[in-house]
Amino acid sequence: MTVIRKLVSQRSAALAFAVVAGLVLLAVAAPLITWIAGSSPTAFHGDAVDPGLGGLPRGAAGGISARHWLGVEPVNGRDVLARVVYGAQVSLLIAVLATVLSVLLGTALGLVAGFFGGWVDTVIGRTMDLLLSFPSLIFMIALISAAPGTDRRLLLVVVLGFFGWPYVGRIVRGQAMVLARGEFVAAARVLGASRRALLVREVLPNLTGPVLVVATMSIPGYIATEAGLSFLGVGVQAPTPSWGQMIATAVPWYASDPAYFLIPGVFLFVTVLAFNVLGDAVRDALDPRSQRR
Amino acid sequence: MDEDDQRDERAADRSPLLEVRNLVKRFPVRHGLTQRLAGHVAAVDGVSLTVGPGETLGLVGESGCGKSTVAKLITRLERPTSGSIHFAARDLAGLNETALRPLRRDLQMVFQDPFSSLNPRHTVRQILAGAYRYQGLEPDQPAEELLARVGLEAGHADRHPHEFSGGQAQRIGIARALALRPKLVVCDEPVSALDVSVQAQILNLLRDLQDEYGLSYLFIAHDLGAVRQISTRIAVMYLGSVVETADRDTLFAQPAHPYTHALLSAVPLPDPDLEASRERIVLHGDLPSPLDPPSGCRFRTRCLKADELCAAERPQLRTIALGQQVACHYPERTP
Repeated sequence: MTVIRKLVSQRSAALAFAVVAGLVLLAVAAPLITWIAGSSPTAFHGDAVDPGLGGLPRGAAGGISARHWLGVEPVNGRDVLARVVYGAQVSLLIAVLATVLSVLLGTALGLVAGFFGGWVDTVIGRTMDLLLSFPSLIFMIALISAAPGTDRRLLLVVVLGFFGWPYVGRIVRGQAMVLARGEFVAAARVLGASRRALLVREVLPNLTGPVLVVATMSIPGYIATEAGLSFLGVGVQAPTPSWGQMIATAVPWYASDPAYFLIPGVFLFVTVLAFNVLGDAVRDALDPRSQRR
Repeated sequence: MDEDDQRDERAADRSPLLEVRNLVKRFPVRHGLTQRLAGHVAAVDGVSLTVGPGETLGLVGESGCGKSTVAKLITRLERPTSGSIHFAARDLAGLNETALRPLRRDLQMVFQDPFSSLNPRHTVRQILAGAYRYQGLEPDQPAEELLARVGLEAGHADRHPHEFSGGQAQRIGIARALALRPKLVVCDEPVSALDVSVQAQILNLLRDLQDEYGLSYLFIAHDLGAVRQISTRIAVMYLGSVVETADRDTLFAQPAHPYTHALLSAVPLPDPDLEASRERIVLHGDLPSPLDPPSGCRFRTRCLKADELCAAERPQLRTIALGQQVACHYPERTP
């Protein structure tokens, strides 16, 4: 609770927190928003585009009107607002689930490696080095395109989480190594604590701070990577909307319909920025040097 | 050690609570990028000592002489390379963690740094409850009762360690060590991280608890004053082994080992006239590296009496008076 109070007391962090909260609300309330706006992310609106102009939306700024608040897509006339809010849902969900997966894997393996050391540490440590030095983007593209028929969203979560855990693991391992040598761990051993109890009850609670920081910092990375993969055509596939995929389809239209390119781009930019600022603020708030004593 | 010495010792300490024999701990020393094994360092090199029921054995020595390693070996935080640790009719030296667990109820430890020995994420109540939880026991004394015993208030139970002063934190550490009603408590420099005024309070607390519960202590310190206040017997360590053990008063009145003599002469006297007139023995040189210890007697490089015999042969601990043993070829007090 003190962490949240510390965060809010900082203006940039409070703003970032508000933006993130707003985005989460937007994503969660996507069905409500589209119901109010009277649109759907998948319905085609042939009347909103001008076939004579190659399918360019009718009206100014990408066809912004009372019916389509953020305009429509060229050619098929799908509502951009509906696709942006549903896209937020997809992007945030993938990023959050990938973070959860990488944090769980990274914390468990980093904790075991740092606490026990020896050959366990060697095996886990080398695996982390291997994954970190791997050209993961190329591998992700190859892997996702080589697995047709599966749910791309699930596949993205698994692949992003799998390549992301060593970043968490490396930090947790270092912290666990220091904590394992702490006198309070020795005190618990003298009391007869089992190794499981030492890990779970003594060391793990001291890792929540650093883990929370890496988690917050990794969400924007995953949002950007997911957008990048969708942009490259190996991410979320139509008709499911995603910001990266929207940007990708908007590229050929950048001159004639810049609004279509800008709207998802601004959303992506603001989201990544807000998460990064928030991550920095969480780190500052949890930094023991800025805290108490 | 020959037969006679062993017999004498048994007569002096009838059925000791803790009996450590020839305890050795060697750590591997690794060098360079490849972590090549460069040799071994003997942090503890043949330590023998005993602690009787209700007794306090003070273990003194300079920094780096291996006294903290002795504490870690006896509480089995480290596994000894060789030697035996007889406690409660078992040899702890070879036991695994499962076999040790029930024995740990009788053998507890108080640590040097009161803050780092308390988990910063736990409340005092959780810290104290850990004693029972890790033993698989139901708590038989509430946290408040344990806190009262060490002079803290019941209201302290739900606070975190960082809300306490050093002295209070050390009291929590002592309360945790006492929760399981142990017979022996190993105190590893329990007061050296505290202010001088607080040191006396903690020493008094340890003594009161000893009277109340019949505890035995192995009290490790580099401060002779603290050791003198609390110990019934004292063992002096130098470079990994015990060079002299004696009753407290004998040790302070008639030290037999030249090293003990030098240590005592370094303790300032409260009377300035006496302080100015007394003879001081100043040791020259540093503690030799345990990586490459001197041949024969470990102390010979800094000893005023050393000769060829000291370089050739390592002196063994032998009894020179009732309750006094010394490892020196030329003790200050002859048998």
